[in-house]
Amino acid sequence: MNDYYLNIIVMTFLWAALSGAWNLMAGYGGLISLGHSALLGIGAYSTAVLYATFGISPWIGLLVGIFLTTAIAVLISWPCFRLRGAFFSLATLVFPIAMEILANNWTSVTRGSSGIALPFKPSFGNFIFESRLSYAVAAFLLMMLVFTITKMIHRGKLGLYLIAMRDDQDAAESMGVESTRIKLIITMISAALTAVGGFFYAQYILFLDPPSVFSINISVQIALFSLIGGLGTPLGPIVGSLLMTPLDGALSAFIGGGPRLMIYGAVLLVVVLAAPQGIVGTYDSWRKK
Amino acid sequence: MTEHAVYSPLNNTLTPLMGIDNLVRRFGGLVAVNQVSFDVGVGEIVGLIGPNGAGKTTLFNIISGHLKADSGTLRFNGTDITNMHASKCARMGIGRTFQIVKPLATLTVYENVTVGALLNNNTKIARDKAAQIIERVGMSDLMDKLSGSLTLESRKRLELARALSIEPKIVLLDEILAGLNASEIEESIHLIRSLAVTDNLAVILIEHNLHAIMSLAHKIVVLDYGVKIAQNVPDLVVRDPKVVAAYLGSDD
Repeated sequence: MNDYYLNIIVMTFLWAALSGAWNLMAGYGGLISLGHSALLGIGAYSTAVLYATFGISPWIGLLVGIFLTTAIAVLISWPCFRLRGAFFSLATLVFPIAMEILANNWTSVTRGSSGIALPFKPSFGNFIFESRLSYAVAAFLLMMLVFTITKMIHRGKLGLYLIAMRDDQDAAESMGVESTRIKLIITMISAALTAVGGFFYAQYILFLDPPSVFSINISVQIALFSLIGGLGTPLGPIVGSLLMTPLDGALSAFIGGGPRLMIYGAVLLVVVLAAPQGIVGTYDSWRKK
Repeated sequence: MTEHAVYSPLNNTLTPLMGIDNLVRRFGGLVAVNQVSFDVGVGEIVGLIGPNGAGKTTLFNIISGHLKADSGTLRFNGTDITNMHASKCARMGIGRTFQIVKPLATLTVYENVTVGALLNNNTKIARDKAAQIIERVGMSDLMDKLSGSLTLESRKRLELARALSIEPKIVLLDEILAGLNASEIEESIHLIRSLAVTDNLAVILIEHNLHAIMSLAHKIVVLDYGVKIAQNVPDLVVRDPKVVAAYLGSDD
């Protein structure tokens, strides 16, 4: 298989994993975050800076990235938890914008807008591979990790508590659900998984600049795949990414430019109109009837 | 504990389960709850009545931790729980229903009640207990229905089932009989009485249905404009001139 198709496969799995991590917060906890590109970026930059500038193994970078991303996610989102619904989303939207400005200006660490190129030294210790097939396997495993965690939460007490809180916070609290605590837990899980995605992105693309990870578009795309596939379902983000990532790849290759965006938009519109609960969500409620 | 009158309908040497002492809550210039005090004993049913806007639901929201009091204290089971968070109050054993029903709309009846049953039980036991409670409130045939699709009457019953699901020591029932027909009201009266008699639960009942409250309550507390204007056994409370004036008052 050639590199072009393998790249699309890698990105499909990666987007499914990132969107799945987002879905934990949004789909179960009702915390519609628009700040996830910031979490992705912090994870990616942690690995990239440590590896490219200090020569520290990306595996250590991964751990640092998970820790930093989770800590920052908690610090940022905790004050936002008192905001409900769209107000939470708007508050989180500020986060990637601030991070992009920070990354552009903190040149001593991030090298600003010129970006960081990671030295290509293939080895498992560096998590850099000659063959894209290795990346595809790794991305698939990451996607399955997110799926498995989601499935466990979906079936368990945490999932029920999260959905209860999403449906009605006052009613949930009257039954002893500690909403702040479970919001923090799901935010930490979501942030940690997103940081792993950031690590993967840095080691796969081998180049990072502020807009490539911190852009609001990335946040929107992460959310979009879950919305298309089915919010609050374990399979939804995977289905969304399986549909949209190859479509976007094919459109870029064969059509490009304005018409590409028009067709992409049209497909979005059709899916949202035909399956307002997402593909998996709509299928589930159709089957229940 | 010494300043509270010792009170229980069953045994007047018991200390009260809940002591409400001079609670005050203001909304801007309006004093919604104004220095209200009374006690609730184990197994006691307290009727809370008063005209619309008297502060009954506000008082419930303070007791259940959904609103903070501006002053006053609330003691429950020997602990000061004034301004404790709602989820902590639930953990202490305070169950409540909401007058404006709040079904967890994307969950089934069964799942709604399981959320509360999980508070004190592991998943398997919680499911069994939830099923028992659903049967007790007479909703077994609706168990797998999404609560968002229920009628208002069923939603009120679900509120009761959820309040019971946390295995409370006291339940606050906010107009759960409104909108029910005569035979459903009789059923519910029976059920509420069994909570106090069989399960030894304390009950505070906000209700406009006078027949229900007269037959259930051991004592009735009357609020008007946030102030407690009367407290007595049912037969005497309805003859109290201040209570009559509050309901039939000269202004309205």
